[in-house]
Amino acid sequence: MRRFFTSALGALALAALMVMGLVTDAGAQAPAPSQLQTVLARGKLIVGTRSSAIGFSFKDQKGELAGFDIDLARLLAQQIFKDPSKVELVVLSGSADRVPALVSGRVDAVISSFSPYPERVQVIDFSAPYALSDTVFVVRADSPFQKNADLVGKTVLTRQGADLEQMINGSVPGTKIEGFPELSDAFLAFRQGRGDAFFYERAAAYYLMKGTGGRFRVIDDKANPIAASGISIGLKQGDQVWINYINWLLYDLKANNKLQALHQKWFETDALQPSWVKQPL
Amino acid sequence: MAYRLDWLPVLQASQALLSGLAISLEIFLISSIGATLLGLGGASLMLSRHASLRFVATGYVELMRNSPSLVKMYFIYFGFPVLGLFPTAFWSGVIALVLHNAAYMMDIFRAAFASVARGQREAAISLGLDPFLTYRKVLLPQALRRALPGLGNYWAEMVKDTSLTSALSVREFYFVFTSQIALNMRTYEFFLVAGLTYLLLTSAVAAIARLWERALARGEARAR
Repeated sequence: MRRFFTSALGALALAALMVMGLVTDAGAQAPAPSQLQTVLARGKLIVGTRSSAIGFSFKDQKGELAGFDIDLARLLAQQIFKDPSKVELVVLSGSADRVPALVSGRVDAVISSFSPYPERVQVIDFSAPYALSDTVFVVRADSPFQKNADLVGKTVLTRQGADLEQMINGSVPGTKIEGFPELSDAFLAFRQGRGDAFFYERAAAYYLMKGTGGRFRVIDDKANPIAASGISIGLKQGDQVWINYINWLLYDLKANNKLQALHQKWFETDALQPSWVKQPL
Repeated sequence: MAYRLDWLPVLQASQALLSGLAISLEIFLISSIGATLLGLGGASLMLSRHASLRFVATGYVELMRNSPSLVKMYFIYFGFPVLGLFPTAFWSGVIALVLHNAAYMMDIFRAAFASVARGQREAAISLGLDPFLTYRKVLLPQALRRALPGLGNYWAEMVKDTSLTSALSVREFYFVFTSQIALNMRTYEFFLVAGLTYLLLTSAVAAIARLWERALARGEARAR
């Protein structure tokens, strides 16, 4: 038993050290130079992304990273360095890696279909939204479900995450939610009939429904829309110079019609453009 | 600017974390007891006088040890529906953990039984004990004591393996805290709490195994 207690104590001490290392009194420090200077001195932009967000950042047929977010990262490099190849893409293994990647300084920005919920904005900062998140329920074509509310009490399969659960419960309370770490596994379970509906981003849903021969359809419920959210670039908290710079790069992309072109290329619609992107100059 | 820890999101999620912990413990108890019993039974096959039984048991160990338990979970959960069977995520995970870890436990028990001196069995039989009593009263207690350090390691390993079931949407501890991170991005806070929780669980399991081993050792010393 004594050895058990010593090891537990050791762990607590380790945790305490980590806490002290992480929490320092920011007021006592001189203002740190902005990430902007670091990026310019380095000569390349380091962007954290994922390889499993269909439509945004995923592996194409050739096994190469593709999607809206990947193109956006290259456009930023083009703006900063006049060279779209001056960007290093770091593939993060999951959504939980996005904040540590920023806090530890391993990446300059996270471009990974990142939605700024109030809980998240307490931890890191976000750019202006460059797209809107549009989530939908997918059901079997021959199922009776026509409105979102028809799914009350039914089983919904989706990617794992309390964020998505909050969204589903907000629009259709009382559904049974089963989350899978891999979106493709959630869709496979749905195809096997393990649930009544599949829930995710519209762009990803259409991609997954390709080649299923009309067996599935999307519920378009304009009267009871699912909570909307923006999609932004994630940035380390407190570096206002860097945040402003990224926002101005986005504005410049909009002014030159490049952001709108990306929407057309990957989503084939302007419905996912935030209002500031749609507005004339 | 340094990252500031904020424990409020962890406190707010404590209800969900505790229910996840309960499911993790349930998976651990069922799968570790199942794997240990299956391992004990399988070890008897490995030590059998019949070559065919030994062949089957050894084949099972090799087959199970050469694929990850996660692959077995996927195979059961996503593969069985092809045959018209729909095992739940919970039981797919538990069965995979039992089948996988039983193979390792078979080997531990086999070695433990093999290390009990041959004279013990011969003495028991010459004293008139039937094969069951010989096994139950003479061979098993001695083998168990020798097996316990190895078993304790595997039980601790199985505590951590419960997290693999989250891949099949089981709402156990790992699932709950990674889901919370997806919402509030408090990665550091949740991982610190989760790491300490797993450490406490594995330490407790190791401590129980050691206490049991010591109790058996005292019994053996008295018998001498």
